[in-house]
Amino acid sequence: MSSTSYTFDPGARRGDTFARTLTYSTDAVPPVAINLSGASVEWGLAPVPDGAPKLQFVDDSSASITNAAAGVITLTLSPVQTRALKARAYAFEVTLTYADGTRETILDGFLPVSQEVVEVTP
Amino acid sequence: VSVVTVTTQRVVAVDGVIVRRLATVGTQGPPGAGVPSGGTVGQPLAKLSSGDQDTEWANQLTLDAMNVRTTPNATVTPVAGTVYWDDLDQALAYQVNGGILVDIGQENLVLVRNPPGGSAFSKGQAVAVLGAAANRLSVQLCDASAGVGVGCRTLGVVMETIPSPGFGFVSTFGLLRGFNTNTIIGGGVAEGSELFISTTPGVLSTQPAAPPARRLTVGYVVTTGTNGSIFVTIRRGVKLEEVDNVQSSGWVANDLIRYDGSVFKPVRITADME
Repeated sequence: MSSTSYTFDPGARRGDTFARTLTYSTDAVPPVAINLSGASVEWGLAPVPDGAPKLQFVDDSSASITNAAAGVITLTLSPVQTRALKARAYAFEVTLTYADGTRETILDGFLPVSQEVVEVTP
Repeated sequence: VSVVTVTTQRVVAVDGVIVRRLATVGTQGPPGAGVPSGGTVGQPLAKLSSGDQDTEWANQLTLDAMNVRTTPNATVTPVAGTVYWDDLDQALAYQVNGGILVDIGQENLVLVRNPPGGSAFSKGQAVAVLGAAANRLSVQLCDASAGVGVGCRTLGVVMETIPSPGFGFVSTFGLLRGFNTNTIIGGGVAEGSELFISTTPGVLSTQPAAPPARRLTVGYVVTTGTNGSIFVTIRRGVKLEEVDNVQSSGWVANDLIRYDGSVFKPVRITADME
């Protein structure tokens, strides 16, 4: 059961590296991490919700579970990848697939991409 | 139906800030009361008491009010027993057997019997009360020249083919749809034409029957054509001897009228008076 969509603020900037760390835990005090051992993570971006994905990552350098025991997931876009995006908002979702095959979308919403002022290498 | 207990809430943090809360489905609880089993197509659920979950599949509903959509979500295809909003005539309507539409409050009709041994009645024929049988009024074709007996008993206009013997509806007031105005005699049929019963049994005319035949008004033409319509509102002229305070019999040609203080009576003209 998910609530309203989330918008990354700040979003990504074309030509810059975009990196965010997601932590999945219980709402207890102190929070208890959800153990993601055996799970995989999928991160997809599309121009519009339910549209064909522009970018899709599954357990790679852009979407990875970096600390399974601590429930930590890292999302990363390289400068080349952000430059491949247009200056607009992309719909996204982050979905976990657990060892038993159960899939759970833990976050979805929009990633605003802003234009860079001067385009330089890369 | 079952009760689901939420046992855990999970959160997602982005760079340490919680941005999303997710409920996790816990263990399934015991079955709830849900809705009763059984029922048939179209039955609504109704409360049996004020108690929680005390319901049944109902055949009757008790409501404070009911609103019928004036703009239905889907085209209504009425059958006998269907109640719906007739937007054309701005009335709550229902349909009876034979596909007859009845706009509540705008028209009246009566189920009558065509007695055995005669011919079938056709839609648009005027009928008068003949008697009663089989728990219904029995009728016959109305004729303006048929004398006091039939003319006084003018009932209405046949709404559908009624076989002999058989039952069918007669309009006594209101719009009669699907009427072929080409069957009207007398000429000059137009929208708004006043209609009368003619001296031909059952046939409507634009001209009143000449005295001594009865002047029997049936109504008015609303729409002309084979699929036209008329508005039925029966009104009959009254013969002098039918008036309450007039002697009803004993009149002969050349009689004069004398009032005796309570009743108008005939006075015979004698040779001396002449």
